[in-house]
Amino acid sequence: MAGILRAAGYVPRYRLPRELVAKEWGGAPAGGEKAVANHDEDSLTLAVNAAVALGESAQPDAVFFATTTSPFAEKQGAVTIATVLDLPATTRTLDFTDTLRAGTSAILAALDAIAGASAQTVLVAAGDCRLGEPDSPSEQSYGDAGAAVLLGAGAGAAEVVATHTVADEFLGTWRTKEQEFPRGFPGAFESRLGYARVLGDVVEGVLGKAKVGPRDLATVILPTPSPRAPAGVAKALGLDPKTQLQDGFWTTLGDTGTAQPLLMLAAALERAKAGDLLLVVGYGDGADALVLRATGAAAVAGQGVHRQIETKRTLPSYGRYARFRKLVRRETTSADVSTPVVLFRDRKELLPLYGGKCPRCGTVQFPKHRVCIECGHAGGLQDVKLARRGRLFTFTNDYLFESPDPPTTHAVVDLDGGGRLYCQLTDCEPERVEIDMPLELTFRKLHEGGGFPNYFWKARPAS
Amino acid sequence: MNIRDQVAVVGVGCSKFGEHYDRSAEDLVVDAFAEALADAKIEPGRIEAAWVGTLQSGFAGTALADHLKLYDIPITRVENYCASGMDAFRNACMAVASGMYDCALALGFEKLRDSGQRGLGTFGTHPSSGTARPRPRSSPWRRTATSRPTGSGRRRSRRWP
Repeated sequence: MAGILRAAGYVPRYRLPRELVAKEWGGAPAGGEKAVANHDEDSLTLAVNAAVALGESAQPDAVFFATTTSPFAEKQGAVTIATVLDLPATTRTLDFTDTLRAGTSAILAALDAIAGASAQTVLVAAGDCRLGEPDSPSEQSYGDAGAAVLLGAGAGAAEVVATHTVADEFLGTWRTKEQEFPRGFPGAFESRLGYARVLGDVVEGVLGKAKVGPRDLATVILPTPSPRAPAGVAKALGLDPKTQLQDGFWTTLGDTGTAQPLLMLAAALERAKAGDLLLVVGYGDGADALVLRATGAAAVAGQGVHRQIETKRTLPSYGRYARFRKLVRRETTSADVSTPVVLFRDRKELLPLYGGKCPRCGTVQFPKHRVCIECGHAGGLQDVKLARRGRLFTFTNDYLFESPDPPTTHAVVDLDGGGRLYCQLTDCEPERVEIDMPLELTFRKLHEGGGFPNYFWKARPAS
Repeated sequence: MNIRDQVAVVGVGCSKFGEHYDRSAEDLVVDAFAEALADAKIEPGRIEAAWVGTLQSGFAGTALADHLKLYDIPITRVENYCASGMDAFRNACMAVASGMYDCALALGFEKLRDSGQRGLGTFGTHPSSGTARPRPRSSPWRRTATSRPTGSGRRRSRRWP
């Protein structure tokens, strides 16, 4: 027996009203808004922050990262997630990519690992930052989000009743190595002959295996590439779209890609009652489906999807979005410096955020220097994991620091349990930053000096 | 005026030379300093001023202030290509010869394979202070009221040998 132990979503703070996109290019807004990753976020940081929200106490034996927009074409993301979570080197890590059903496929692979007893618990973290071509319907549709699911032996919060997969060669949506934006065949070709057909097959297959009828399901999670797509399929399958379909958050967040089914699952588990049957479907080059039975045990870690949807900042213009996503670029060169050697040497400080504790005077400090700042002990400091929350000691708003979203707020943060971190604030309104305000740490891309993303922690107003 | 017999080198130290992928510039600075202190048999509190020679690291006087916790003395960075270290030494000699200081530190370092610093190698993330204190901390090396130590004055060091 295997089940979902915990689930968490990570929704970036920014929203772009679709009205602003329509105003920029002309044409009709599709309604609502979409979630936009901050300029210091990418698919990997979205997944990391979802994984961190699950709680760092979990010690999964394997970590799977699911995305179609990995920051690297060669270089794994899952190993970065495992390192941030401070997992042992024996952890199995793997990226699932190239299809929007990578998230659900990673879940099925996780269940196989658990069934085969090669893992007790597996973390699946998904994140996607798909870039819709400017002045196209996909630009209004695509939104950014992360979600993570912890699976393990035992029922947990939702026991797995049945799984099913359909592999289906279909050129519905694609992006080659040379193409910057996903594209699709125009018209209803994919929705009718791809999406609807394949979803029908996979749902029929999984319900047959689970021996349940469509009306026995409490919640149905269908991929939501457009606000109305799931309703048509639901009707054809004998479901009631009004009462059984889980909101895909298309209107509030957009089509969040690989993360979408996991994000919907986390949202559904926030409200699931013991005994509820849930159907989860992922779509792309075929489809995956799972039937789950909620046990009534709490599954949702962190803040909850619904609350994160409400906690938002609205982008003031399309131009700001274009800067965030590098649709327009500055020609000035960045002075950021980095080398793989520094990342290697300081990886324990940079990713899992270890500081130093003086063996003589006990002072916790960051970074982990050779000489204690408090008592001058020169014999080296001990490793100590720093807290992810703290309070603002002091700050300055820097209008000259190069950023797509000036000013940059530089902050000195006193972390709970000790350690003073000099870092940037993000997701904040600079004019509302106050001394002593409670902060939480969030994993971000600091810069791209050296020709690669340099990840580190920033602080943001505590939610 | 002649500088002959005006200045003495009372202690020297040198880190290992090599491709130190596992060691930072801080490690090299701390190693060289500790050896020089031990050689001179003095306390760090006796050092009244310092010159640091470095070109590509991008560090200023902070390379000594932050890494050696020498926060309340003037530290000057000298940059003169490959002569940077020697020029730091020359400036420290001049300072002692002038009578301004009794004891000065000259230190040169370079780490060409990975110039940069913790916090991902940008000045924007340079950690200024690492502990939760209500105000910026001065050096842990306690000094007496007079800033000029006399030859016999004993400074209290907490740790440095």
